[in-house]
Amino acid sequence: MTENVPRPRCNNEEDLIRAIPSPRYCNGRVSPDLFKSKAVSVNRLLITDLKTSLEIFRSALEKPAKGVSLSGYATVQTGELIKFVADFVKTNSDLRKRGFTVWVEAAPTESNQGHAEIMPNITEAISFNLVTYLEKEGKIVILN
Amino acid sequence: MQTLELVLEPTQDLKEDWQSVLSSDVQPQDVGAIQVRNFLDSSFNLNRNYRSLSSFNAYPQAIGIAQFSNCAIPSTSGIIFLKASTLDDSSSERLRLFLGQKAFDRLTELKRAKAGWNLGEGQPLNPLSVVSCLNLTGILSRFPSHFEVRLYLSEEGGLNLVWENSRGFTVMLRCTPTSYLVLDQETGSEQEFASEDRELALFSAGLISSSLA
Repeated sequence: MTENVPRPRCNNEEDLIRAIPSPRYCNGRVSPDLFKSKAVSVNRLLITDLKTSLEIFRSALEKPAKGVSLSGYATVQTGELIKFVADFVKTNSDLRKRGFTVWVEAAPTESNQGHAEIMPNITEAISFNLVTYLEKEGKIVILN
Repeated sequence: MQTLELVLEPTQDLKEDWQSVLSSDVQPQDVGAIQVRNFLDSSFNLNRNYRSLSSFNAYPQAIGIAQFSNCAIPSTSGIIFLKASTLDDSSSERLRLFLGQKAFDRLTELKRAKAGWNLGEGQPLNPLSVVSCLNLTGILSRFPSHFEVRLYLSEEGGLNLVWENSRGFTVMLRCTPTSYLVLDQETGSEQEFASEDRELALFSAGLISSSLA
């Protein structure tokens, strides 16, 4: 019955990192839908530091080869993400009515102990604005 | 339920049997991508019923498969196979003119992404998303040159066209096999349009004027 055990939530101070595969990077800019997904996969830098996280990302893209490469990464603090979404929800009547909120759950796997998921999902519009925000904050890093 | 299968090859005329089920605006000489596009757009209103087939990989020659149901033929469903040469020279050229050479090259790059490209998630580029983009060229032959369009792959295999409008706000037009999604950062709007409403999608994205839409 382990599947019913709630997964621990990441605390607000934890830094998260999200990979940017090459189909999501073009001419110096990141795709606005970078975060749009259900249970958005991220890594916890507290568990897997930057170097380890990037190795995990590269390995996932290259073994077996997916015809893509790792173009970069985005970082965001858990609390910063939650606040950003909450602020966005205030401006969006549909999300506000639904009481939409996000949280981050640890979701370690055998090959990636730092894996976590932003729950329940990031919408298209939230991702759109979050990417712009992170770009302005310099929290999107493109690798050479 | 009866199942119909249709294999379209650009160099092959339709078999006589199939001519009878295609609408009158599809001529026997219209083969390949153009024919598929017309077929998808107008013959049986297939777009709304399209869904990808997981068995796609079983057909190495095909670059796309569409399955439809509830078409004009009573009690039938069917499958369309788009072969590797679906985008014939004429279609490719139209797409190149529309996107510009740089974005067209990027499209070639995006086609290389395999399933799982987004760290285990992520579908490869759906060829019908490209056909959907190609369909826009019927209304707008060239993307406005003052916008530098960037191309991205969506997690579901759609094609994202992204640019900054004249006031510096980001606009995204996603082409999928069944619809267009337009997100405008300036207005905060998020609108989805059925494939046949491409004029409205282009208008919503600020690419054509209201008189055309």
